[in-house]
Amino acid sequence: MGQLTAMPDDACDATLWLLPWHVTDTLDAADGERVGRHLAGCARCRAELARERALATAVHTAEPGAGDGWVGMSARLDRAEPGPRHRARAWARRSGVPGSQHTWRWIAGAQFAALLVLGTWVALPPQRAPAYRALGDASQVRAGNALVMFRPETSEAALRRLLAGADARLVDGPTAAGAYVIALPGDGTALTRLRAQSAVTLAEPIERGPDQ
Amino acid sequence: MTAATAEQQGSAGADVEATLLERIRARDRRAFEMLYRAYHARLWRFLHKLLRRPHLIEEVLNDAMFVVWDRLDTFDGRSRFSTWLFGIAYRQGLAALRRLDEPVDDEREEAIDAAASPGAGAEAARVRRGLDAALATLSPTHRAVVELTYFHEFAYREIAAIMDCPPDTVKTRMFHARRQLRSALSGEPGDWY
Repeated sequence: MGQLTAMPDDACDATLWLLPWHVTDTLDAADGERVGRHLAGCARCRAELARERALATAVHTAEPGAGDGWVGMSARLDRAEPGPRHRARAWARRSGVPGSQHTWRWIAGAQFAALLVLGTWVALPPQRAPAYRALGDASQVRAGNALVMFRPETSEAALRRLLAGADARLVDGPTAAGAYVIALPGDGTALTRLRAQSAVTLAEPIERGPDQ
Repeated sequence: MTAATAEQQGSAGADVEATLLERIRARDRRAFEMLYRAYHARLWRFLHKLLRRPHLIEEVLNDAMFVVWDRLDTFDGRSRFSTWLFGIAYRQGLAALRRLDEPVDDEREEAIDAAASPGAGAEAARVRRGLDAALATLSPTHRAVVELTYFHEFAYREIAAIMDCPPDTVKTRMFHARRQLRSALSGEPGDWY
């Protein structure tokens, strides 16, 4: 069992304090370089690194799966969104100026501004093409037509089997949320097959705008 | 995977999320459902670890996601969206615990004697049970740091943003949590999972 000391008073301790994020590869460049350099020359800290990886793996083990909470969320949205007129009145009540001309002018202005922004967003071509995109095949990124997520405990091998079973091709991911962009055959049956898998928590088509 | 490929994929994934957020700002409920489903499993696990009260998880999770639907204008884009969302879930979770008069501060954990933890006392129990027991003895703030680090793989500065505390506080909490978890895990590291 490694001895973690109370305060980072030398290079070893400073490294030990950062090991969790070294294990998950989330240190910034400066911290990562410092930790990496120290580990290369310190057998004691390398031994600690092995223990740290084991602890991270133990914590990472599967939990009971979450259910589908969308039904409850959807009902809540229904309760919260009783309709535009009611919403406007509720807002006016909260603002303390019920029904005043100023209020309605503000709402109309805000709606106009929102429409302007939305219209601009729809009309303008999307901001694209950081230079590094040219290094890969950008057309492959656009070819994705569905978003899929798997239960956190799904193994990489199981993930590959699921995708192969649906005749799916992995286009991108995982995203920050752990979702993958995939390309599926167009008749919809593959998406249905994926949704039927217990390891799949989300399988939704990507609805793209006409410019995409 | 090369760094360039990872960067490209990360960027494309961010594009998908940004598109969803833009549609949600335009009150597209279908886009919100997709985002909800995309984050549900991760948030559920995080809140499960933080709260350890099954009946509260879905309520707090939906409270947090409702903020996304109703107050997305307060997300200024200075952090990753996931950092912002987990920060909301964390605060909502702590608020729920406070309503139950649950202690959420760090001092509680400092007073725990690791040798007396349930995991250390159950020699014949499986290692996993020992770990779960040790996690249960951590304060919610310490459990949150462990979970955000090891499972959700946030950088410590992102965790500081989520928990609204200095980065050194994150390191300190993680240090104490690791020490306690290790003390509860008997055997060699290879036996821990």
